[in-house]
Amino acid sequence: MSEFTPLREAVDAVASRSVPPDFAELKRRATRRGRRRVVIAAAAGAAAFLAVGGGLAAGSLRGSDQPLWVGEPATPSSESPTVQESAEPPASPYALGKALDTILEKAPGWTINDGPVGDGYDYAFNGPCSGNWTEGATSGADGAAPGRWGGMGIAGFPTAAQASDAAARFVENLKSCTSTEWRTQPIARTGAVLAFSADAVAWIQRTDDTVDVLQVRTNDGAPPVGVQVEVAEWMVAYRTWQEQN
Amino acid sequence: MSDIEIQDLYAASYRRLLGQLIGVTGSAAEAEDVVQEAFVRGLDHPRRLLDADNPEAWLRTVAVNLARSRWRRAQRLVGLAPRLVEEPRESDTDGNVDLLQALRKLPGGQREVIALHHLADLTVEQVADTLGLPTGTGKARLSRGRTALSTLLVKEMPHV
Repeated sequence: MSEFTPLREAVDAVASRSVPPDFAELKRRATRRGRRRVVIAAAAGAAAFLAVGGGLAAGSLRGSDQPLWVGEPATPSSESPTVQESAEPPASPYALGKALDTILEKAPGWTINDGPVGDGYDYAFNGPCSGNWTEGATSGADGAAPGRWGGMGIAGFPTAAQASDAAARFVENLKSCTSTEWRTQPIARTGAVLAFSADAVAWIQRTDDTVDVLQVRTNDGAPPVGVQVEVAEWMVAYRTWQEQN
Repeated sequence: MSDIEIQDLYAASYRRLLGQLIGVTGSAAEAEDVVQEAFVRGLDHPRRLLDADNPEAWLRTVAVNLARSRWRRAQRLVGLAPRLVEEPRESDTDGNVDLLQALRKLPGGQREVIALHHLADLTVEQVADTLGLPTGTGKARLSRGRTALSTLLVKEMPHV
């Protein structure tokens, strides 16, 4: 008997007690993944478009707060060669970070605060106002966001419904907080919510069973609506990239 | 047609792959996740799976890569948000837990080669190929891993 026979028997015993999911369930998961990939490819294509052509568009926006200057990110026009040629999703964290930087840095009349972090800075994801919003989460983390700016937290839940409830709980907790005054508002077309205080702005985006929170320091309050939308779409693209890599 | 072939593969290979990945990850829950995800990816790309010389080996490689990626991510995340990171779930109440815990104490690189060589019966060359390692590195890890695991088992489970 090999010295590794007990180990083999142990893993076989544990494996034999596992009940494999029904094959149809795996097929459903694959189907859902395929559907989501189609949507994400469109959103990521829009992000790549921003990275390439954002400068031109930003020039036309000086002094304006008009939203939707990207057009409709989820359905890039087939008549636009620029969008088509740029429709490859960013393929690395570096590219995704660059795309986010481009979105954040070109916002007209809105600037990121890159000075020292104050003592009372409230990092919403797990700060004093967050409460117990992640209750029931089965995974999670936070750290620096891709690119140059901000922090990002993620909480994964067993189901999309639980993630949705948690995101709603998080928004309510922020709204009712007294230590930091957070204001919240829905972001057009994306299903995401924007929260902003005197020191920061946070995007709260649920994708399937996951809630992502991206926070950037600013003293300018909510960014232009177009930037709100683009960042929310970027978050969906980033979530999908993470799941596939 | 491909779905039927993959379903047959699922029926024949799932538990074998699960045992191997329990060895690789040291966690039954983690192994379930990555093996199931490997099959989902196979359903996503059926030709890649079914045209492979050895479809089960294709699934194993995908599952091992997923486990490595998830482990790296988990390691990065533990220090950042400890209250959110899932603890390993263990439902075993017998000596298997001790064995798995001993396995989990090995450095990840050693655990992978031990599992693939001694549980998946791959040659050292196949292990190195699966993990993207030079063969010499695979041999060295296997040697160190055997020594470390034997020491752990003797020290912590003298009855084994």
